[in-house]
Amino acid sequence: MDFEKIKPAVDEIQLSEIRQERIIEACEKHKKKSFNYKLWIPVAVAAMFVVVIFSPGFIFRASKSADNMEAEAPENGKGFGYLADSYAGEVNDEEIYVAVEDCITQVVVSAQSQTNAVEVKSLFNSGVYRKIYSVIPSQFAWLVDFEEYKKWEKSVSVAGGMAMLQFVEHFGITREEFDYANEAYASYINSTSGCSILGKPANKSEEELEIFNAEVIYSFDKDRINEYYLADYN
Amino acid sequence: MRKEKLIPDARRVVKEYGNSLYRLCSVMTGNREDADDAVQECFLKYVEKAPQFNDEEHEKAWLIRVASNICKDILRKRKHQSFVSLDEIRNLGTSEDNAQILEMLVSLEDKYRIVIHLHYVEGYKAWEIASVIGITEAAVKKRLQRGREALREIYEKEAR
Repeated sequence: MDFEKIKPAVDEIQLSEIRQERIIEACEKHKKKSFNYKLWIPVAVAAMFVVVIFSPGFIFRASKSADNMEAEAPENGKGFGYLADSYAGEVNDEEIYVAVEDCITQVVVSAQSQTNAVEVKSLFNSGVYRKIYSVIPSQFAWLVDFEEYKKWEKSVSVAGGMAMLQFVEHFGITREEFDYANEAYASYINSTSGCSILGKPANKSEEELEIFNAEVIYSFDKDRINEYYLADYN
Repeated sequence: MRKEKLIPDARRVVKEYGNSLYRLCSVMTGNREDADDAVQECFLKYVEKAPQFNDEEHEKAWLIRVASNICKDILRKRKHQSFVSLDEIRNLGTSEDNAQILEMLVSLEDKYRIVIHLHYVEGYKAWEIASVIGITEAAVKKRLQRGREALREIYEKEAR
């Protein structure tokens, strides 16, 4: 028996190109599915935590008539008590923060994302442009090292053009990474704001529901980008 | 400084190790459908677990170990029908001569089959096989020896 014949015999077995592509496709789908799963499990746990906080007893405590809360919850002029407090805990190895400000509950998952997971803040005054011109949602910030991101965030100005363009150029974000984060951002907007059958939610402006146009940004053409993101009222 | 990618690149690993894992799974399971399923499951696990590796060898060793465990599960499930026909072997896409060699290989006990495959096809040394499948080097050498003896016996029986 010549054992050297084993290798050429086995080497004849090939995984076809079509089958390889199908496996890749299945992996991509599975990757997205497991990403959503990982993202939403802690959020669901946090949501349950919020329900517990807003049980009748807690609401009573937070109301303006609750004597022990009056000092911390001064009248904010809208008939609601102002309560700025946060609750931290650990669930499934993730740190969960629940912050209540102006009677709006904000849920933040993990310490790293505490500053930008819920609120998308403007990095500079975008002037004549739409809100998206000056923001970097956390789904994009997570693509890079958080410390590096915080350092970079301080250096961004309107003079450099659109914030996302500066971000992509500074960190060398590939189109694939960009599309992936943009999709996650769209999914986040859809799950938090969503759209009713009557149109956009009343408390959200269209600007707040906008996602990034990869084609425009990856043209790296500042003039085109600036023109595209001009606010409608200009 | 960019972060290490948390999400592995499915395209790269499938292109790089797809054939190699498919061969291993084909030899382990002896049929195309099971090998297909095993390879896909192995890559899905890779994407899901997103393990961090020191280098490509480490990555390949992890994939081989996972693939062989999946194949063992498949074999366990179909214990009642362990026989694999020559038609199924031919179905793997090999020529007639090579199908006979494969048939002999597939008819070995699975513990011998994997060491013979890793040694003669993938070119791993005994100590490397030991670290990949998680047994001692001495056990690998023993299995190689017994696997070779078993193959010789089958070959002689076929020749008669």
